[in-house]
Amino acid sequence: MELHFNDLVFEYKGNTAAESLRALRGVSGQVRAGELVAVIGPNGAGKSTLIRMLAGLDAPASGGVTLNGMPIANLSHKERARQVAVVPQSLVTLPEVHVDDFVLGGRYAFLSPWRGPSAADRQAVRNALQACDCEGLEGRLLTRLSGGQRQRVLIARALAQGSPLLLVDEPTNSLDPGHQLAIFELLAELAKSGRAILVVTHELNLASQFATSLVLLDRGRVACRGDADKVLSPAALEPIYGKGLTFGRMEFRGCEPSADRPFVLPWRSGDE
Amino acid sequence: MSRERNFASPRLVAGILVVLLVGISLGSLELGSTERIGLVDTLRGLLGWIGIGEPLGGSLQTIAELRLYKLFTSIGVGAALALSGALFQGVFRNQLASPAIIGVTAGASLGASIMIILLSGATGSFFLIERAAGYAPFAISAAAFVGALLTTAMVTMFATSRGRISVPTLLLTGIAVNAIVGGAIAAIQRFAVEEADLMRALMTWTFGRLEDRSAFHVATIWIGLAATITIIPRVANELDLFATGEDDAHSLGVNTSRVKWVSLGAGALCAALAVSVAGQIAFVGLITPHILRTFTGPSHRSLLWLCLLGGPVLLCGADLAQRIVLGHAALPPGVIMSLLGGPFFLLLLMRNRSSMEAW
Repeated sequence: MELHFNDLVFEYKGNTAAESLRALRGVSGQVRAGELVAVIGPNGAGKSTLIRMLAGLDAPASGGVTLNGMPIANLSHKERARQVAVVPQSLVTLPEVHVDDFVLGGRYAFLSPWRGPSAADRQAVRNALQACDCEGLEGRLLTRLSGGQRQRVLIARALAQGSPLLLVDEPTNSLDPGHQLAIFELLAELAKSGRAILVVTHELNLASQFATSLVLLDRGRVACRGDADKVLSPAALEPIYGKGLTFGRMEFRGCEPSADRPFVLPWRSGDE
Repeated sequence: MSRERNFASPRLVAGILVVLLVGISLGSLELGSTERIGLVDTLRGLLGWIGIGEPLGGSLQTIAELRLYKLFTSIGVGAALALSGALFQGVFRNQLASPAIIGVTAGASLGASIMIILLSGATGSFFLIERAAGYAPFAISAAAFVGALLTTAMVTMFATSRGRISVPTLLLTGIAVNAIVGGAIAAIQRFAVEEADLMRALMTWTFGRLEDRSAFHVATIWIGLAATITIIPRVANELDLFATGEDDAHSLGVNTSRVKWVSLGAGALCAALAVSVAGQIAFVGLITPHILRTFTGPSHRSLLWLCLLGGPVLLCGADLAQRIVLGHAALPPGVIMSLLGGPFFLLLLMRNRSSMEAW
């Protein structure tokens, strides 16, 4: 599994040229099986636009997205869904459905309009719930879950989709630190088991610990890319986020062998 | 596995609705605006109508046949309105959506009003009654149908940009177009206000009408309904996934623009046919899916099918109930549905306020 995006340009059209907004001005990159790529950057940098483009929700003005060499625009809706799953930041509305029925929605690309879900579909739902530590939530209503549980269920639905590529949009929004860590551990585990994952996040320190590589977007362009040491450095971040950051390093025990990783705090330490 | 909310089995609900519909149908054939026809005679009249047995004597056979036409029109109209309502609510992700929102009802009324005025002639003699009583119903139905489709097409066109329908724009455009068409209808009524016959014909349309229907009306609504039913399996799963937003449905593999076009087109067609054969009947499209959802849950895989039974039960049931209570003073179906349906809907809203917010 290899996702390539090449020189993506996208413009939100306004009534005049001045009102139009160039959200992406030539962004390239790739995600391969086993990788967890974190896309970071300030608000309005084009992160969500990039996810929409990779998910086939919007077509780029120029540039292209290919999956294993095949342009994503050539895939049918169902074929695309079998290759790429999206974990949205939030849902427009929460339907009053049970968790297992909701996760079954991930199997849509495999269903025929003339028959209900098969035993294989049900099994895929059970496996996905299990992988996301959601056993026991099957009979709960989606509307009554906590934020952390709901995020796990959203990831479970993407897993039920069976796609080798996951696009995850700010999965830790409004979660407490414990749940934030748990979500990233889950994503890292899924990447290790062979999935390709691209995650958009503001959590620089979680990206530092778990991402295999980082992409820093700014005003529609890639400002910096590489490992955490390179991207989470004063040289890369200060021109974009300003001077109010404090940088440091700390041992990370989530990998073998444990290693030092950079961390960044929004903390004015006064030595500017 | 325990579930936080248990819904009734769709099959059970379907069974109950079938029993209710059969009972209500038999009651409607027996009780009408004129004399009472016993059950046995009703069945004999039915057999006579389809040409198997001897027809009933005297005017009874005609009365029995008129009741059969009324019944089959009502069943078709109830099913079409309810199905249309469920499709619109699914696409708009809003339980308050109904065919009226995108101008179907107003457009049909405008078409019918214009045709009634055209048929009335310039001299003021009422053409519809005096000269072409047999021909006018076809023309009025056809004009209503064209009016409904033209208005829907106009609303949809305004809300479409680069091949995509924007649901919020559609709702807002619908409000604007409804206001314009409503103004045009009022203008026509103002023009006709001096003419008692003309005014009566216009009003009859606004109140809804299920009496004096013919084989033409039955065939129109049933053929349209049969055509629409074929799309149910093609949109049911998809509309379930629409509940979490179009982008979300798209990423799960749903061809969202196809589902929107097919559902809105079929819903508009159903509603336009219903309005063109029976005039304006409010609330059936709004309430039926709402009531069914409280029993069987939000899944469109059962909801769309159950609407085909629930709509007729509601429309024919309300009509039969008021005939039993009011007798000869029975009100037109549009009026009775508004008077019964409105308060009932308010009651539902009060009871379900919290879950409505979650939707």
